[in-house]
Amino acid sequence: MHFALDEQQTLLRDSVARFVAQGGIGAAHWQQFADMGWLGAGLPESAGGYGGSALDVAIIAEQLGRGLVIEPFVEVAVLAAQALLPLQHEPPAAAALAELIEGRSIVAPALQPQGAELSQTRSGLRLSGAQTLVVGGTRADRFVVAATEGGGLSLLLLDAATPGLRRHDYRLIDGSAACDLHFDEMAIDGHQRLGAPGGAGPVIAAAREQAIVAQCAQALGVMDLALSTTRDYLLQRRQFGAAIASFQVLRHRLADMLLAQEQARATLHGALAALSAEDGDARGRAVSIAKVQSGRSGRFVGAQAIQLHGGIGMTDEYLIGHCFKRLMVLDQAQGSAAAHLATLAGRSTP
Amino acid sequence: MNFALDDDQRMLKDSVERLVARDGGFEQRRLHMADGWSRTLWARYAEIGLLALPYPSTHGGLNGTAVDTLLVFETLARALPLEPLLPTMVIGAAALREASEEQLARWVPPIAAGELTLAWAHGEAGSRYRLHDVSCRARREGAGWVLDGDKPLVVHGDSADRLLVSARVSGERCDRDGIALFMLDANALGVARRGVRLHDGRRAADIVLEGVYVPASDVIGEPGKALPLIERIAQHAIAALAAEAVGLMQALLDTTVDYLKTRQQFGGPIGRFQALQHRAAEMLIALEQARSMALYAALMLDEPDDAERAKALSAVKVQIGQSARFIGQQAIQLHGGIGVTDEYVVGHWFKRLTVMESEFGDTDHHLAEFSR
Amino acid sequence: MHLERDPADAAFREEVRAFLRDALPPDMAQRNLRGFHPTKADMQAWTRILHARGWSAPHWPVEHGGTGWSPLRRHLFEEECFAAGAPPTCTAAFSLVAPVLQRFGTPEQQQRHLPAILRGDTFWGQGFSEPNAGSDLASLRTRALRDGEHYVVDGQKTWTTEGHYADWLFCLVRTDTTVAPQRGISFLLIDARSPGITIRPIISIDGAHSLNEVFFDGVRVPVENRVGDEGQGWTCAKFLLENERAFSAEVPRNKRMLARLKALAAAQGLAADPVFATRIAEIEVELAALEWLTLRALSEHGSDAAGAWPAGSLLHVLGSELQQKTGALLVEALGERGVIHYDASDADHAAGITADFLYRRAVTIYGGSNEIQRNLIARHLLGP
Repeated sequence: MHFALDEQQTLLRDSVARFVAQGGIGAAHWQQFADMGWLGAGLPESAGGYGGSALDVAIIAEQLGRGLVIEPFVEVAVLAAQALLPLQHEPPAAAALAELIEGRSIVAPALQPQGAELSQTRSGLRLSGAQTLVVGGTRADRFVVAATEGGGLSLLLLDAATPGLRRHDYRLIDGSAACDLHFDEMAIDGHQRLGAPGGAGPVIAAAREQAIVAQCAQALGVMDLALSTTRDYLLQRRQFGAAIASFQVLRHRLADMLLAQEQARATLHGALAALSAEDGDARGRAVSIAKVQSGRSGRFVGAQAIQLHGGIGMTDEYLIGHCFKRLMVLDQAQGSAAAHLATLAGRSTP
Repeated sequence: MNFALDDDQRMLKDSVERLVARDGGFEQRRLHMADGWSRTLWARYAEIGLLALPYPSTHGGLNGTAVDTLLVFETLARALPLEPLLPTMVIGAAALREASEEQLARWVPPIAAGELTLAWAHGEAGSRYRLHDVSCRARREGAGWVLDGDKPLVVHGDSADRLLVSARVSGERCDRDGIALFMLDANALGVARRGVRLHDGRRAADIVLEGVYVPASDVIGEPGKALPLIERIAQHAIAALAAEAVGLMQALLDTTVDYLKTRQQFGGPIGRFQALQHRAAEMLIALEQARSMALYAALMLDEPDDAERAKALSAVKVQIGQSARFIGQQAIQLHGGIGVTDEYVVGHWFKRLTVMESEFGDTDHHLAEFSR
Repeated sequence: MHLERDPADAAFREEVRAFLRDALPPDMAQRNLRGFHPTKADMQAWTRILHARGWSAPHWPVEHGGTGWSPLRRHLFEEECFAAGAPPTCTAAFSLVAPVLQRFGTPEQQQRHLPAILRGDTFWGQGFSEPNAGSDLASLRTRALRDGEHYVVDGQKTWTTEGHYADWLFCLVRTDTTVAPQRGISFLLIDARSPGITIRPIISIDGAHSLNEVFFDGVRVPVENRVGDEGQGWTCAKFLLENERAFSAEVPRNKRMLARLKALAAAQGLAADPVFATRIAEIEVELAALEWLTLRALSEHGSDAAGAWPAGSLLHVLGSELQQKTGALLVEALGERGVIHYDASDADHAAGITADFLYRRAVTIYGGSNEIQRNLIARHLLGP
């Protein structure tokens, strides 16, 4: 076991960091993501990807987080892609995956386990209900949608232009775009459904695990930005005739921020290590643990970063408030810290 | 609403403070621990009227209010009394609100004179603070009752003259109906007591009742309908504990601030380190929250709406628990090594607060009660 | 970065478990799982058992009797020993003074003391803190005046853990009052049976005797018992204190406490309580973070990467605070019976839990208080 990045990993990290630094905060371009190979980083070569691991995805995600990039990299290149991957023997999935990796198609995930329902009627399959908080959906040309069917979950691959699919767009507090999808008794034909009817639960769960780990990495990057920005501010800001970095309480608060960040980094390591484990329970626990820590640490680091900046931390102009908002959004994505803690409490093994 | 003390209350506070100053020393207490508690101190409490305070004046009491009790417990707290004040003064007075004239005449005078001490024997193994969880049984026999069951960890139960014992006259273990309250003679046949020591220096006993006969005249209130009284008793106890906790927390804060000012390290008093200053400030905030809640408790003891009163006292216990945990821990932390020694009083105040956390329901229990 | 666990390490863990099953006496394990302080008899007996296997000092250099295991394996070994209820070996001897002797001691000093420590024959006590020198250790005042081939030591040390078990003491003393405080300190090895030494128990708030005050009244110490040069004591101390941070066994102890918490919660019917189950889950999250921080620190031990983050201080703060949280939850799980004062001879299943909780108030204080640790972390981020 070793924790230092090897040469290739370092190159990957540095190229993402450079890309982000050049583009300024939040100005990433999707096609460039594709051109750099990052959309396919965690996908096997057989699917058109670059054969990297969850670790490579995490390296990319962390740097995107550090750049406060709000493009839906995790939603599209991890969650949606990982949901399609096990079903790539079906031509629509294979085509969508290939185009996703090339940057030609944005496939947005609408995978909440409740809200949408697929039922067999006299005139065929009908999709009704809704999926909410679909991040990446405003520019998507395709959606992977979870719908209850029978007693299970089915997975659908829908073209955005399909009749009966209504979109309601909005922004989240961190500026990222999301939408709600409403399905007005949409006519669905068989090949829009991927895999066995009602059998998509495990695929979606596994895809979600990968996405959570990537989100944790992204949050870690945001925390790092908040921490280093705050450190610089403390050293430079003067009050009462001294740099405020000389005030012990502020020094200790910064130390506590580092403690929180390192706890988040540590549980991310634990989750990355567990992703290749056979034991589904252990994997699920490690992923939930990472999400709990990420959410808690993120909120603490984000809030304290604002606190230590004083007034300017509250302005929209300055980046610290944006770090906090991004960390709040990342906490809520794929289940908040509180939700994952409840899950851990429920399946606590003696 | 007036938060200032009136003349009587000021006098009460002064007499308690004098007693503490003269006889309530830390080293004296250590000596008293050998016998459990000090009979001399008990006689002094009786002399200055503490034991009579909450009882009705028609029978030798002083008609004291909840605020009077609060004052006594807050002022005595830092002396860490080993004596059975809570059960004899507070629990007894609350219980005897439903006593008959004959019972009041029989018990109040000796209590006030310091000749009769009590202990509260209600909780049972596995009840985990639920007041209606009673398995101890009482069956009718002739004009009285026969009690069988276990009452573990009865604080002051090893030395008490009488035990306030709850037992079920009807119904199943967790039924709200069917509980009765008995003022049991602790020396009655069939009462076995095994003493234990608690971390805060007080004594307790695991009590086993085997075929213990209790005359009907020793039943308080109506048999089978005692739960509301038991709930009130617990609320009075919580209010007294809240006041005691405030006294302890004040002592911890005062001592900590003194230490910060006097302890020298790195060329000056450690109180000049900002992190420690802020910690002391946070302790003060926690103390003031607790103090407000202790006052609220005294106020809410008279609230006629049962549910409101119960919620209020649960909220009080939660705040006390949270403030006490923070202040206790920080006081030790800020004292460094000496905070962890047996020789120094800070650790003993901390231990008393720790023990108090699990008396009459811990923080989690009351949080759950409050949110019901 | 490569995070998968090596299967060979899993096999190593099994080997240690098998050894513990065979060699750790069940009654010794029972005694030590309860939370009271270990007895000298248990510590010595266990050290001898380990020594017979060549395992009493895994972290020592091989030439002095160490096992040559990787830092990770040393950690796994410690974890298994803790989990099984093995008593500790004498920390002051094995982990504090021995590395100092190995790094700064003369061959004669090493020869005289290291084998005896290794065998479990000698116990040591640390004479560092003084009543007026706690966090500000450099301000210590115990004097050592040169008189021919001896130093004459006068002064007082405090917080000496297991000083009453000690055959030898290692002390920081002031040999020069004319220079800056740090530069006037020397490191002395003092025979605990020397005339002029008085050891006085300090009873801690758990009611037990683990700590001591040590008084030195004209104690004559041969000059050859000085480790390093005169005035080099502070350098030795810093080296020792950094080791103390690295060896603080936070994860093994926390894991054992969590296991006990889960067992107790189940026995008390609390595991099904959603609030309590959530509190246990919170502990698990913190422990996972602590464990992976530890694994990272172990893998970087001795490399350049080690200096990039203040690992020792982070682990000390997180590990100590987690011990206190878990201990508090253990006491809470006991409910009303958590207030009973048990002593070490009591067989009750709850015995030791509250005593341990009380004693662990000290874990955020000793070894460099958490306030000092936060100062160090901050210095890493902000400079002095």
